[in-house]
Amino acid sequence: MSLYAGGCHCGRLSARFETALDPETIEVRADQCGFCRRHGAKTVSDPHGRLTLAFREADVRRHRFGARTADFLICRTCGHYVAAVIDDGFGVLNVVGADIQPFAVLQAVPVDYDDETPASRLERRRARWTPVTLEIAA
Amino acid sequence: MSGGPIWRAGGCHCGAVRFEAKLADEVDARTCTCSMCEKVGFVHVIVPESRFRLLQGADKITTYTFNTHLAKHTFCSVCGVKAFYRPRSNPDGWSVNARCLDEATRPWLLLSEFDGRNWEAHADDLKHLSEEGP
Repeated sequence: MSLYAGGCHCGRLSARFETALDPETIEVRADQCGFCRRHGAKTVSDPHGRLTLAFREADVRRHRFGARTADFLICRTCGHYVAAVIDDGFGVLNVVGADIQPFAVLQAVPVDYDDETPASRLERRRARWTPVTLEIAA
Repeated sequence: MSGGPIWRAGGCHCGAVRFEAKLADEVDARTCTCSMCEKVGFVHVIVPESRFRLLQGADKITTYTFNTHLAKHTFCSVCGVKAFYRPRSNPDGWSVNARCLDEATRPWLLLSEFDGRNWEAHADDLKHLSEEGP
């Protein structure tokens, strides 16, 4: 396992990503939805890894839109989109917003999930996203 | 064929913040390698003050500053999207995020990369972009 650490610009929302996947070959995805395109997001996940997100609840906005199946975690201070989580149990990391090197500089594969139903979307995320630990300070 | 500049609208993802910028059919657009722009994936289209106007959402905008506090990094407090901001290189103008221009009227982008890691050495190269035209 390797550990990659990063976070938003002001430091209030930090992320640690543990994975055994090779940084040279890990799939980096560029979701083509309007939210991800405007945030310039590129995401990674590893069902066998661990994503740890640390923040104070008051510092982070849990933004929901569309099918409202995930919380998109946005720092209230600097606006950066760091990660999205479902069920507070699985997450996907925005390696651009969290500035996780070396993934942020990799070419991303465009992906489009527009045709999914809410149920199939949750099923995919539970299968492909990373088990998440939320370290929420008071 | 390049048409004269027209007002082109854009905004954040949730729709709270909307703006217009007066842009030609083809515009210079820059990515930037500084610590801030890389985390936002910002694609800069810099315009003079008179070629930008906020249409709605002033009450939804949060402003973040750091380091010299000269740049005003404005983003939507609902969806976090940074659709435009007041750049340190061009405090008399605005930098619009090309990612946030409405697709139907988005101009052709002539992309280049700005060396934001050596910001001080290159910022003067951008000064003319916010000068008011005749």
